[in-house]
Amino acid sequence: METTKLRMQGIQKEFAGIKALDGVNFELQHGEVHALLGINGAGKSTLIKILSGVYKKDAGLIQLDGKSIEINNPQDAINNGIATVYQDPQMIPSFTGYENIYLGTETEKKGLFPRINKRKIRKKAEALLERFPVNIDLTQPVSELSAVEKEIIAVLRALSKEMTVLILDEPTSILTETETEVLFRLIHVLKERNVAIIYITHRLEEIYQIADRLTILRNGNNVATLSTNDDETKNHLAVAELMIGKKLDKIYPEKSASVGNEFFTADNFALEGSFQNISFKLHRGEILGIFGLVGSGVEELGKSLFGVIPKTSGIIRMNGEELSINSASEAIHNGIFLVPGDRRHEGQINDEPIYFNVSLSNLKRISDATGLIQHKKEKRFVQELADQVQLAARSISQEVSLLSGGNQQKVVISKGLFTESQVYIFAEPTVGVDVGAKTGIYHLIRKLAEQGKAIIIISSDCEEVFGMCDQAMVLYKGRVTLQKSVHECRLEEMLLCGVTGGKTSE
Amino acid sequence: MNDKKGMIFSDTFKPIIIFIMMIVLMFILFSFFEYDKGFLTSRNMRMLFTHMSISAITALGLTYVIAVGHFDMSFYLVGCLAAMTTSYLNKTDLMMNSFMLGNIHAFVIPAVFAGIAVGCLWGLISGIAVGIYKLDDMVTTIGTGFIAFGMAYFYTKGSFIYDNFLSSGITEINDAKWFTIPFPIILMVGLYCISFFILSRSKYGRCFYATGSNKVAAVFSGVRVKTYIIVAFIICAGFTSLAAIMTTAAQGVGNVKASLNFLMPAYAAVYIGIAVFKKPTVIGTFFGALFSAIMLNGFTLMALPFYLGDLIIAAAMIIAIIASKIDWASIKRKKSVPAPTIHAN
Repeated sequence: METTKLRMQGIQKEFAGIKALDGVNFELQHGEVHALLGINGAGKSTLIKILSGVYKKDAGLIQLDGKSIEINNPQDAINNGIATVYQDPQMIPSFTGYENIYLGTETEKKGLFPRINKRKIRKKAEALLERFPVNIDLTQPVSELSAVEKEIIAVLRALSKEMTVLILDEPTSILTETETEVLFRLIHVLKERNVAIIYITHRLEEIYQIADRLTILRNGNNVATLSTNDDETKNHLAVAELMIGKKLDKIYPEKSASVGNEFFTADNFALEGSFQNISFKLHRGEILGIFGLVGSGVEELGKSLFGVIPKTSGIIRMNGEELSINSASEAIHNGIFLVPGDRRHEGQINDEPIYFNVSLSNLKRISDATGLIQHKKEKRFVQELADQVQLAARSISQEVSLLSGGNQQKVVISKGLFTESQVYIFAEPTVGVDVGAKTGIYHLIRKLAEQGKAIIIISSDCEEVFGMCDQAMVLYKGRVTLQKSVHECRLEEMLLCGVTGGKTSE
Repeated sequence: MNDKKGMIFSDTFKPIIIFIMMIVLMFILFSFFEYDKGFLTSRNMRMLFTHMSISAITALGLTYVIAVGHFDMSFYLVGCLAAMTTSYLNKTDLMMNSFMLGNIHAFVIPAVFAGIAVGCLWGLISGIAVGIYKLDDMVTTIGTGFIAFGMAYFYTKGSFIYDNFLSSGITEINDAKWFTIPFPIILMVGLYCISFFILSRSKYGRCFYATGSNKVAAVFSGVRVKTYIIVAFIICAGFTSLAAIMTTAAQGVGNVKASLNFLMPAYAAVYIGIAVFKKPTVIGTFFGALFSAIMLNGFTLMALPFYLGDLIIAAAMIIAIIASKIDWASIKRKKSVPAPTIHAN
């Protein structure tokens, strides 16, 4: 195509002093599918949120059809014809497909109770389907439809409002392979109708199927824009290298050389529908890193080991003894603690003070025989832990909701330390934590290992697993695609196993 | 860390001071306007606290359920079943054949405990439905409650039970005194003391509140959330059953509708407490119940019609709920420094 549909130039965005985007340039042609790639924290979602009006950019220029536009709120984006379709679109479940497409725009008539003509809406929807032929039954209530059909309805809703730029945010992460095919067919139709599409994904192999070009973001910069037809681009390893960058930051502590005896093992551990055949042998003082993207089953794996989600099969042993764990309280009793990834929902009691949170998992330690809490003892213990993790809080009586993300994570870790467990599972230990606090948390984890604890880090951040761990395991769609010592594997190899399942072309 | 002591002090004692001021103010008002009607006499005070004990014990039970983050709409109906169970057992022939303990028949004691046990059983059912099967608390407890209420009619088809009431000694529950203090008051103070230690001073209290604040995080912290929800419902139903039996003893007749008007005063007491303490607490509920009791007593002495009492307490509850929604701290904070914001990226 001749002209550029959308141009973003020098986009900058800062959150609390941290640069999320540092001068990003991005170009979208008419009728093009342009993939946006990058690891966690590269700035993909920030860029998209600026384009869809969720965030306001600090600096930079956005041009649509050659004209400068300002996007200050989601309504601005829609008025300019930019629509975003999220992986789980919001709809009214009891309404039919076509009712959802024209929700809020049923009629042009004004007044308190304008008459809505269902037949007319249906006709309009059928006309829309003629323009964008896709196999879908719009007369069904949305609650009866599959995930891909919901996404298609969300796309049709955008098209009904004459949208010309469509942002698809990880549309396939919850779809099965046949469902993905259906979606791709629609994307091809849209391309023919000259709709420009920004396609965000973690899955590298999909890009070659549908995208024309791809742009890679890293640390808030755009690193490269490539055409998918280039030979260089077809080399997955080269793309993975671009996503990660060559050198690792020096934020990870030194790895320890010696490990203790074999301590915590899993044998053919499985949860139906999430992951299968997980086996590992973890020694005291060793850190096992499990890397996997959203939907790969890593999240469920952590919760299953901790007993929150009951496993379907497999055996866990500690010190050679088989454990039967069916709840979190049993896991904690057996010396296993999970520092959950979703702090706000799973980690902390928001409106209670720090000391309440820290002591919650091991109240026995601070209460007497009758169950009464010895406050002095509690305050002393909690203060010691707060000093140990270098918690920045006014006092240990402060509500946790008032702390920053990094400090909240330190509170949750302190809660784990207070249980004096033997096995620690960290799920996404540094999500929403700034770089300075990250290093602190990494050193804390390493120190725990040095004290002889067995540690598992579960993360969708490949670099973190590579930088922190002694053993690595990579999950892709519930299967183990890589399992070896970190010393023996390359970061690119790990990332590739996580994003494509290890199938390297060429 | 300098203001640590000050913070703990103000956090715990400010609400208590507010409450005491409110109550002292009411005392002064009523004593002033109703001195001639005998508001401040020891007889009236005894009556005030005896009346209060019934709604206060019910509200105390409800405090547990609110603390675990649920609602119970069944307790006042379950109380009716419990009271009828005790009344019915009190009427049996077994009763008059049992030996005497002081001036009550020994069989009265198992009769009372049987009533409370039936109430607890209903609490267990509601607790399992809400805690384990995760049914909606409001609708489920309305259901379980009205099943209990329906079953209360089974004993006599709804007619009053007068038999044995004056002879069995069951009325002693209300009439007995210990150093001139009526037994209901002693019972109330005892239960409040125990509950204070459980909810505010023990590890169990921590678990009740953790469950109410964030169920998922509590599960991840190893709290047996389901158990605490069930126990809360059992305590609520059990305490209400006790209060309903006390009412029955005071009225001297087994009545199907013994505790039918317990619902609103209990919620009022708990929510007036929450308005001041920011969370359901034993002390807050106590002051809430005391507040309502003083108002009711004062209005009764003023010879206002009885139905105005409910009306005014319900209005006080609504005001309390509105007050608890206002974030005073943030208003103060806005004046001095902006509230800290948390960025999730």
